[in-house]
Amino acid sequence: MFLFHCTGMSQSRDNKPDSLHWLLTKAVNDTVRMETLYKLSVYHSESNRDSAMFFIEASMEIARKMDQQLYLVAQLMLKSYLLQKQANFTHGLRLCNEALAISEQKENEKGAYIPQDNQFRNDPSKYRYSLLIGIYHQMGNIYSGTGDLKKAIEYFQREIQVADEIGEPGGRVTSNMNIGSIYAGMNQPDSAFTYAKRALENVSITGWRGYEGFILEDIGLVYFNKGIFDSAKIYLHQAISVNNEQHNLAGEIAANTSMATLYEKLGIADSILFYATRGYQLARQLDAAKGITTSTEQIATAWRLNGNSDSALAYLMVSKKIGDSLYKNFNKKVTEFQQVSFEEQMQLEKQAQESITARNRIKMMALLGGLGLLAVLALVFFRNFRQRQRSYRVLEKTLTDLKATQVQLIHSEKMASLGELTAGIAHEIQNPLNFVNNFSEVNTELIDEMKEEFIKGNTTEAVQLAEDIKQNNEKISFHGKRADSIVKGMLQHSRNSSGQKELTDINNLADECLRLSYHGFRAKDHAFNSKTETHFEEGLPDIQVAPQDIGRVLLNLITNSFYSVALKRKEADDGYEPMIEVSTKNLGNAIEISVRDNGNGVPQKVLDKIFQPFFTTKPTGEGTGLGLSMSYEIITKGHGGQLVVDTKEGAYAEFRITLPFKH
Amino acid sequence: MKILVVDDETDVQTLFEQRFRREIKNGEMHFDFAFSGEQALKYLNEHEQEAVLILSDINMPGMSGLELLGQIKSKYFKPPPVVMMITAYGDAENFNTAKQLGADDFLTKPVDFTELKEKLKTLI
Repeated sequence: MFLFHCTGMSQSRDNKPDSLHWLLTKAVNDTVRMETLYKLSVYHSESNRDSAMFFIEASMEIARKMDQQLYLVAQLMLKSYLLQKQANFTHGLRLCNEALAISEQKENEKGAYIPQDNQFRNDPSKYRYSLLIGIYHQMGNIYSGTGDLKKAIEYFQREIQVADEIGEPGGRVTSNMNIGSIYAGMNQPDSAFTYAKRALENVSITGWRGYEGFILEDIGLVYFNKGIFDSAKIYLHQAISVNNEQHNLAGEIAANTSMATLYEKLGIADSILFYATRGYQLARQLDAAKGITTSTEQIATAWRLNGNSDSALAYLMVSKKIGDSLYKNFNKKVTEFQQVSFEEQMQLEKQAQESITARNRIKMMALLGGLGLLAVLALVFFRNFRQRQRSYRVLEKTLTDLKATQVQLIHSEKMASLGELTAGIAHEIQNPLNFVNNFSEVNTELIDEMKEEFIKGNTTEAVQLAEDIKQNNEKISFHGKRADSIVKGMLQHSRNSSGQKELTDINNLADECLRLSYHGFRAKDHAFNSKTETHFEEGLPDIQVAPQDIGRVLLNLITNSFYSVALKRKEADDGYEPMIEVSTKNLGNAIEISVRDNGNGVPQKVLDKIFQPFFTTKPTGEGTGLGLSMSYEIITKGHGGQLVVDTKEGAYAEFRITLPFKH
Repeated sequence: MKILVVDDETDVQTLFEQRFRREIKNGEMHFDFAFSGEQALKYLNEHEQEAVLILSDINMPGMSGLELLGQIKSKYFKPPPVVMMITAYGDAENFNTAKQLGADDFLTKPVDFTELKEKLKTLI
């Protein structure tokens, strides 16, 4: 495993964001604002990269405005680091080149702002030179990120060299650490161990512990690779707690998944599950695709060891899905990098030539360069082609696996929603059955009375009783049919949908679904109640749909609505009245069904995610995260219709289905 | 004696009228029906002066039986009517809430009419 980290330039993540934000509001001059924004970015760099990017750009804007070139170098490096973490190596390297150019200009020392806590505060010349530490470090990061390990080690060695020359121990922490990681990845545990230990020594010299967790993890992994599991466990434990203490989310994810890997080796399912789950939760928080894939794979292994193959399959599918997109994206970015870094080198060479050679020689060079470029491009295309062929074979196998998993998953989702409805269905059947029993008992009594009246000769009375009996019989038959249709509906829901379309009364279907979900929800939460209203347009034509599929979509949407208003009810004051409305409308060539609730609505920031598989806002274990994505598939792919959401946070959510029909 | 039955199932009316047809014929009991909590409150506001016994279902859309019970027991109806709650879910939670809100009795569905008749007769 490789982990690469930010520059050693007086970057400490010890600052608390609250005090930084406070400082920001109080900042009287641009320098303080610039530095505070920079520190905020550093603080978020391992836990929330979107925020980190936002703050660094704001800080850079001020530096540019004030023409603080040397400070800009530090900012460029942090931005390059954030880009590299998003696999945007090309852009990251470009920023490194920009920074190198700035730090080579001696005149940039004039009037340069040097942060208070920097040890070269009184020596601008040394300060400028010290910036190389960060730049070489970042270049090493980028090269190792793209797999060019030789070049990466070379840059990290340069970093150590500069750090030694000017006596800056901070640079020795991260460089040694990263070289150690690379050797570990190349399966040279002894070299890895030597460098990691050196990094650790420098941690205690500098007292700067931001990345201590990573180093401890590396040492743990060395022990793991050597088969010394007890020592590995001790170091990984330390790594987890140090990372946690230092708010290094990325480090905590890595240390937890490494620990899970250790327990995979030892075959202890519960411990795998514990550490992998922790890693998964943190990776979700950081949106770290690689962490998510690794941890979900581990969770799957744990479930498999526990004999629960269904859950194992579900987690494997998540892992594959994210892994595939990650792999594709990564490959694309690396190819892009290989092309661009070559072009960039060409350009640098061309500039050097310009200053010493005549014009026509340059033309010649450009021609040669063009030819070279063509040759390299050909090479790149060839490599691309081979890479693609390889990915294709992997993808093909994944696809067959995925198809099998999908069938399994659809079944689980169906069973899960059926489970939610069972109690409601039981209640719905109980009511008609009570009527059947009661009316038939009443009829027995009435028949006895009728006999008596006959014997007495009161035919008028007897006929009246016969009328009552007949009326009761009609009630019995009505409620019998009612129970029958509920059972049929339930069977339909659990049966594998054939997707067979038939003429369906949408109003009936919607009404049935509303009742089922209402009772299902009430059965789970007796204290809860909500108004329900239906606005069904009369005289809708029966349309061709797969009723059990549309039913499943409606049950899903309505149940979500109940969930939402119940949640708001718990938080809101007494004046809040939960309300669910189900409406139908004839649009001429389509029928619109809408499910509207006055719950909390869908937050803007997750709006574009709600139809994605496995996305859920419910606590772990309460939702499969498949309901809405399956609904979306059924409506759009299965019926050529639309499923859209209209919502205002805190006020309402309305899901509208349109189902087109032919006259 | 006037008895108000509150249930969202309209066939409850036919059922009660048949089950209690002797008592109704003799004039021992008089039944009125409301098909929601809201209707029941309206009825009580209009029939304030009459002695009323209320049989209410708990699980109804809109105002639930428990909310209705709370309103009746905490508000102005005079004289305070006797309220018996009926529910399909005979769980402790419903039972306790009903008791806390001041329900006078608690029955579970399916209703045992012989037992209900006994109870009503002792009340009368």
